[in-house]
Amino acid sequence: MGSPFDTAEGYVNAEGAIHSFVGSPALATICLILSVIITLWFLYRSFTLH
Amino acid sequence: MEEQAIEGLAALPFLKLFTAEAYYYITGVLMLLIHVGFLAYEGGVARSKNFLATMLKNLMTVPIVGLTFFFFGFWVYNAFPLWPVTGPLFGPWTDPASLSGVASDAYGLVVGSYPWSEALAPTKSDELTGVFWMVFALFAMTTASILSGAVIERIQMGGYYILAVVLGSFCWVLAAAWGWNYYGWWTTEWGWHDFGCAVVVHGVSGMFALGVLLNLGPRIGRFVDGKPQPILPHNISLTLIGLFLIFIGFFFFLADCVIFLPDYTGLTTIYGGPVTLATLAMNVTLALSAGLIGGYLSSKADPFLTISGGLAGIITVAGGLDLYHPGLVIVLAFAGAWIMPKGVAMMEKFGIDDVVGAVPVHGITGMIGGILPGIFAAGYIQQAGQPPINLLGQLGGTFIGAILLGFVPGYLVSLLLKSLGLLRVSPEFEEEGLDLKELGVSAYPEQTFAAPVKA
Repeated sequence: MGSPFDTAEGYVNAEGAIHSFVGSPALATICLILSVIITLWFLYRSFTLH
Repeated sequence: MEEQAIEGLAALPFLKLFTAEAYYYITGVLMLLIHVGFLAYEGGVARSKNFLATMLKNLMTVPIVGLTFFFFGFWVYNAFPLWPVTGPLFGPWTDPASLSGVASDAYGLVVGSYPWSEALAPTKSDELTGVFWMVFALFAMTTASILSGAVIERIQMGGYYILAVVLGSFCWVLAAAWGWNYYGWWTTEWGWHDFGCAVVVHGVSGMFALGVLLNLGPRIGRFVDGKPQPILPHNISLTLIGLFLIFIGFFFFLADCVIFLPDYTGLTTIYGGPVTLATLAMNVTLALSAGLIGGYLSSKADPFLTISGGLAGIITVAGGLDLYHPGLVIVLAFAGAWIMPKGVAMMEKFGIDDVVGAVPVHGITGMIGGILPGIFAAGYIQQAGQPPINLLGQLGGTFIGAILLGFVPGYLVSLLLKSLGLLRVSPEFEEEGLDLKELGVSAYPEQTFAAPVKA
């Protein structure tokens, strides 16, 4: 997690992905799984919240 | 054919300039939807006896901040980025011949920021400074409007206008000069990053509101024997629609956080890093969605807190919107919006009457949003010779912005106004309603609020 670039030049002139999970695909996957869980939790709670 | 091609090429410089000019003009005007939203939002939250006064107070934020931002706010933004750490404070007293390097580059923008500057008057030699001024002025109005909602139904209009000027045309502008400026010393010395103004706009204004609320006190009847009593919005529909308009306006606000100049080969952040509108389209939409869910679940489906969650979600990720993966945006925005209703409850516990939740929604989530890039976007070096984005730098900028430029001046200026009797309306005005007492009109003259009588 953090910058995939070592220098300012590499970041400023980047051509591909620039997000902070470029070097940590596992973290991106974990966040996506959490996102799905949040969505499912919302759907479940929408039946039980009164 | 060849002649036409040559004519087309001759028009190219104008088209490049016009594209940038039109981008800021159109997005700037559409940013006004934030103010339409604030107007409706606050008006709906107020009781019917204060409806018109509340909306008028909010409406007049536009001229008072717009004019004072023209008089001195735009100069503050351009004059303070280096001072007091990396260079001098610029003004009419500055001798440009004495400047060199970065100071000389930064000074070039100062001469176009005075109210008497030719760059702000009709001219063909500068077609961008005016549209930049408008965008900044609208940022300033937005910042002051955040305070406006917190203090409704008991603040004196004049007292509010003074606070709006201090906040909208000075405090946040100084934070922006230091932390949302290519030359700002927070970034050049500390590696600060706040793409979407989480601290610079929201943290500063939310904590400024907290300082004011401590001196202003709660509305009559809001707390009885220390226990909070509900004062319900008179028109929740208007409030909900208002907040949705604020969402739309914030898409344009964030689009105006992007720098696009005629000779650029790509869009950049204010700090010079790369960014795309596609990134904003994805991340802002996801932050809004996750924030609404966070607010819904945390508040147990309270409509007001649910929709406020959308704003809290966007603000939570605003600092690093340009660098966060969409999955991270969803998780962070959800968490920020989840915390927000707890902040509302905490305010009640301390006996603070923050009518629209400005402190939790903007102040607390703004501070969180300012700190998060130090964790989730650490290590980016934004320009050669600058430190990378880091947690300590983000904490430092957040403290200076939200506390020293937000809470402290909000508290001190409102304390001064209070001591002069200029802060709060009289109990008589508050009880009878500001519409009739201050404006002499009622928003609903034909309506009676008597309970129906059984036949």
